[in-house]
Amino acid sequence: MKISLNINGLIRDIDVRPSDTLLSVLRRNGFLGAKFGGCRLGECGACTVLIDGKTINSCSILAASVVGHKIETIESLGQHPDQGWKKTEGLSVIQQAFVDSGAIQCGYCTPAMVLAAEALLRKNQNPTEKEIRDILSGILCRCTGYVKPIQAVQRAAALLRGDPVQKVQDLFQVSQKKGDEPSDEWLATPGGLLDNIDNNISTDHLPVSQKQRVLPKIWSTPEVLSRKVIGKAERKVDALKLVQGKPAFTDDVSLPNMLIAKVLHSPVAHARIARIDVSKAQSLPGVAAVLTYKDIPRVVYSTAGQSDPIPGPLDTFSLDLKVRFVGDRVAFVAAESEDIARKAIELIDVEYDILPSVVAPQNAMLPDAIIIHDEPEYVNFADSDPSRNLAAKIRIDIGDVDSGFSAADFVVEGTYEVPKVQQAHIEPHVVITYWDEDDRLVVRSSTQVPFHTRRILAPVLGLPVKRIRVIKPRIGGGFGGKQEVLIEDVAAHLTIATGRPVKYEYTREEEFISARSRHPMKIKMKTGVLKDGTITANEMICLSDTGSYGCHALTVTGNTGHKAMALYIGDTPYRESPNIRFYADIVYTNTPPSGAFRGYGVPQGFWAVERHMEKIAHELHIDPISFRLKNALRSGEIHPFSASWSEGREPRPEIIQTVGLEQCVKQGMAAVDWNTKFGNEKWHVVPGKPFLRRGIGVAMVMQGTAIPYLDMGGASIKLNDDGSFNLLVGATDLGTGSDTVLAQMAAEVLGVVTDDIVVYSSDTDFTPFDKGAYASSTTYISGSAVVKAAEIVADKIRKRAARMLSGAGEIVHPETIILSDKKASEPGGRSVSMAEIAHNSLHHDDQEQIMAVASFMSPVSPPPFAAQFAEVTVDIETGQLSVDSLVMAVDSGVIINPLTASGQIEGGMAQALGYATCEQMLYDEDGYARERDLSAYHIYRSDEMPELTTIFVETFEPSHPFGVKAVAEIPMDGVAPAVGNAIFDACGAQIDICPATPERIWQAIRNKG
Amino acid sequence: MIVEYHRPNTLEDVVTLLSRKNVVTVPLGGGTWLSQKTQPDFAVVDLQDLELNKITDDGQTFTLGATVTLQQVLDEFPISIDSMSAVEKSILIETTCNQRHSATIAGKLLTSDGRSPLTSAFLALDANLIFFPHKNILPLIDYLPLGNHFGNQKLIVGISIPKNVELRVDVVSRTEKDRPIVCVAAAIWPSNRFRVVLGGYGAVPVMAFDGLDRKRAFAAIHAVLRNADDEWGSAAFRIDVAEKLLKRILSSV
Repeated sequence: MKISLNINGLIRDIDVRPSDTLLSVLRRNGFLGAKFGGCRLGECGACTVLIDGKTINSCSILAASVVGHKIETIESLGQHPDQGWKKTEGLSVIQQAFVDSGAIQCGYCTPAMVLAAEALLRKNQNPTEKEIRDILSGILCRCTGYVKPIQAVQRAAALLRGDPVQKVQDLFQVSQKKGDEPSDEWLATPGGLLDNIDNNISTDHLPVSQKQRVLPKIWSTPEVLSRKVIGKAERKVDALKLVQGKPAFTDDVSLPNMLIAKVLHSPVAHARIARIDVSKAQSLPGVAAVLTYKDIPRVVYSTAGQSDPIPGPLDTFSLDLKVRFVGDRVAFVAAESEDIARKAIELIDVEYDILPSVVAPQNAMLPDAIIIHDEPEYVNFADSDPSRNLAAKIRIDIGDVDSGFSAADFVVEGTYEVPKVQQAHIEPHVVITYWDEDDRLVVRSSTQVPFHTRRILAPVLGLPVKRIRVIKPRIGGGFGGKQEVLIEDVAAHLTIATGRPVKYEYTREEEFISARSRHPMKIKMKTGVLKDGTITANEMICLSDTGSYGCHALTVTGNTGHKAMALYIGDTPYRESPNIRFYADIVYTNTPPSGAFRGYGVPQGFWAVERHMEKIAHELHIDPISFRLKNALRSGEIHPFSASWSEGREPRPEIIQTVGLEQCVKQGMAAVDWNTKFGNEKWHVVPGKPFLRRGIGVAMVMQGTAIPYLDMGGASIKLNDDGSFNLLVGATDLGTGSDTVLAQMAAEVLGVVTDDIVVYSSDTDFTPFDKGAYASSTTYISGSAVVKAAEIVADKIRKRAARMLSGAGEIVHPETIILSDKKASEPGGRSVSMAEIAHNSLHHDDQEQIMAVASFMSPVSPPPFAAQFAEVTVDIETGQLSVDSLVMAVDSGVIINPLTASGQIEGGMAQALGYATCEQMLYDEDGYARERDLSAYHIYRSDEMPELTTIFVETFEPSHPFGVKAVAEIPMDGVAPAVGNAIFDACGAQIDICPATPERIWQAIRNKG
Repeated sequence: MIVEYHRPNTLEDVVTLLSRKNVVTVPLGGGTWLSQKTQPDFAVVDLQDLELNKITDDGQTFTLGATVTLQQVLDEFPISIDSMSAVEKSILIETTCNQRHSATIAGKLLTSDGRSPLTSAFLALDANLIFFPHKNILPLIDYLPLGNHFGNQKLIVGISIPKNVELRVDVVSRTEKDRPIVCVAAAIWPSNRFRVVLGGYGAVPVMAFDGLDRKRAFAAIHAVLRNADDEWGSAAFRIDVAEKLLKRILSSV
């Protein structure tokens, strides 16, 4: 049927089918700012458009039903201001506010949020925060915790009202100056950044919360040098395209003759395929290919996106004659349309020989348990033993643990549990594959690991690496879920079978039943303590569930101990020789595979450790903060696990140079007013509500920064005619802002502004190798590579500039040249601009391309540290929990960009809050998933998020040129135990199983009597 | 999936389309649910041109047209009436801003399940469904449990609720805007008639009590929830919490 749609003020006649949603029609017609989140019920809102000025999910409204209505998409708003000879009015006020406020991370939901703000501010330019949170409630964001998007709407509202509003960058510079003068009191200053605003400018329109939220509070050590670009709140280099909804993501291209792929997923948890008949599917008009295990080579591999050799068993096939979980692959289909592909899937006739299944991990290693991996091709790694359903085993003893327990005055034991949870990035897994004109296979994929993907795919497809090119466009969130070669092989096999481009995109249900997730664990803790609070020995015994495949099995669980059990080594004399035991069995079950998820095993460990430490402190009547700090690692001490275990190469002793934990605690306590609240019975009572109790809790955590002696990143930089630079990195910015901070580092070294660094990442044909985005490594590893490359380029520039400035008997020495303000200056004040240097080198004298390639691999993994605080209110009659505020004080070394870094902390805390209170994936006894959409699997909406506060305690990590440590993963680690400890403080309920659901709290209150 | 789309401008035309034997035909409100339905093949009749998006005051009752959106309920429902704040609370828990702009009241009530606080609230209010033709009226409490409303050839044109009823809704859920695990909706008429509906589980919320003796409502909670075990909560938890919530409701009215 032909319909007329009014899109952005223009009437368009469009052919549609009655079943077409508005989203599909918009995207077919080039309005790509509306995104697909894979959901069925309009839960995510990434597809938001305005219909008659109201926010509507375009995925759940028929195109035909909006005939006669006014449709507005993100494309109707602003554009880049400078388009060569054509000038435009630039971005809209709201778009600019989103850019300036750092409200954009992955950018997948940004167009939707901008449109929502547009709808609100058209009607009301003076909205309350509640109204802003409400209008954004229809758009789920997994990156930001909603802090900066709300801030952006407030900022836009102020601008639209005509109120004077300071630049975000100016606000920060003043606050940083204050931070350069460390003072115990500065955090207590009323209003925080309020003081830093010019007194001549009215700030009445700015709510206090706005001023405090724009930028984090930063406490700097004197070692942190004041630099030109480093440490500045620069706008993200990809912000402009993302805020305009430009076609930046994998699914934003459509190739001629492209087929749509679908996968038949197993309906049973464990079975052999006795018979499979695809004839009906193959004969369906529009079906181009149907593939089963009979049609493709049987190549065993691991889907884990890790460096070679993959530290885990090889136990996976693209298609197998056996299925091992509900959701496992049975067959692939490629068809002319999604509807045809779906119908073809339904026509595949499969007969399963059902096998017994193991769903509960505690049953996996029972003597009579069915063996999940009985295939002869299975390749062991280390202690994996498929005959016992054991994917990996860890046994680490540091010191003399048993002697430590014998010496203790008390031995405290506890058992804890953490659930399987989903990354829930809003952009689903998506890939497009095609043969290029040179018969090379191009894989356009939303992946965190393009180079690993190329390496791992090659044998699976029977192609040499040189005939595969992986392109990573922008990524709509990953959080570890895309550190996996999860679906690239599906599309690639179908492209090989048909010769045609193929797209495969997960639905949200497929994300839940077939993608990766966080390892669920059962953890036993045993700790020996002296009466004075000195820990004499600490033991963790862990049962970890890897699901049906062993991807990341060893390394995720290894990190559970390596990080969480490393923090508390005991006080003297145990401090010098700690006693620590970490044992883990990582078992196979017939459930969807676990994998990488932000934090990579560490949040699991800290749930157990930090709940346990709280119990010990309570039992010993010791202040919980003093107890922790007494036993915690300090600067100059050896990482206790560094000589025993490494997820990369053989372990080597590593000294921890910087530990800002004590200062984090100090600043965090001040921010939450700990001393007023903790132990103050009056504060715990809510007047007029006798069934409510307030509580406050703390957790201390550490993470790692990259994998020593293993992971490497590369960078190349070249100078252009106008004095700008191309920075090519294999690092993958999955929304974290890593492209921006890498550009800032290059700009700092080269003496230019960030805007003069044109960043491209990543493409295996064009960019240097990089291990990808994981292990909190990009700023540190890839950043060091960038600095090295920039220093080589800077050196060449200095030499050429010295030659250009020398003459008439005057010799200018290169080492005296300073690169700053886009020019090279000699001590006497004379200078040449970068553009002049570029022209000289490219066209005039002794021509050369000034460029460099460098790479970096670290021998150390300097840990970031943090103190996490939570305030809660508990309904002691019903178990209803309300988390009222979260404060995190973080030592991540020097902060390259406070906007992007605080965005990481806020988003991480929001994600971790879900882990603490509501997120979990459960299966029935037959392995069927309870959670299959974002309704059952609830992630926090903007209108229910608590107050989030970020504090950075800067230390200078000497192993990095700019002193940085990691920031991205540590916010996942402390929220859940801090909330658990706050619940205990509120009402005495001991929550040992995460998340803290109302029934668990209700039960725990009853248990305590 | 949807194979035909119609947008008539008279109710008679809608009825004619719904009555067809050769293709299953269903009324389309906002489309939030039907647009995602892929099986079986069916036709839709869009109700948007029928002016069913009005809220009218009929003296003793309010009538909400079938295609009144949930946002309209928030914006246009008289704020002064006793039940409004509970209805508003239910809508804000159950739907996001985007969903409220397209989801219609009739569509939402007919496609929700037992965890819906809005449906619990309307059941507590003893809402009536108004059908076309003949303005047949059927209590929601009788219609919902029938299930399988898809393709039943019926056309709902409005929902009426009493004006003079005090309504309270209280829930327990994992987070403030998560779907409830326990939901208690209670309505009190000037005559002291008292109705309690329990939600948070099952296919539809369940009316536990409708009478004058409020104390008996607590016994009714036990009776209704004693088998309310599911993967989201135990019966023991639900019974205990529902009692607590009901006590609070009673103390607040």
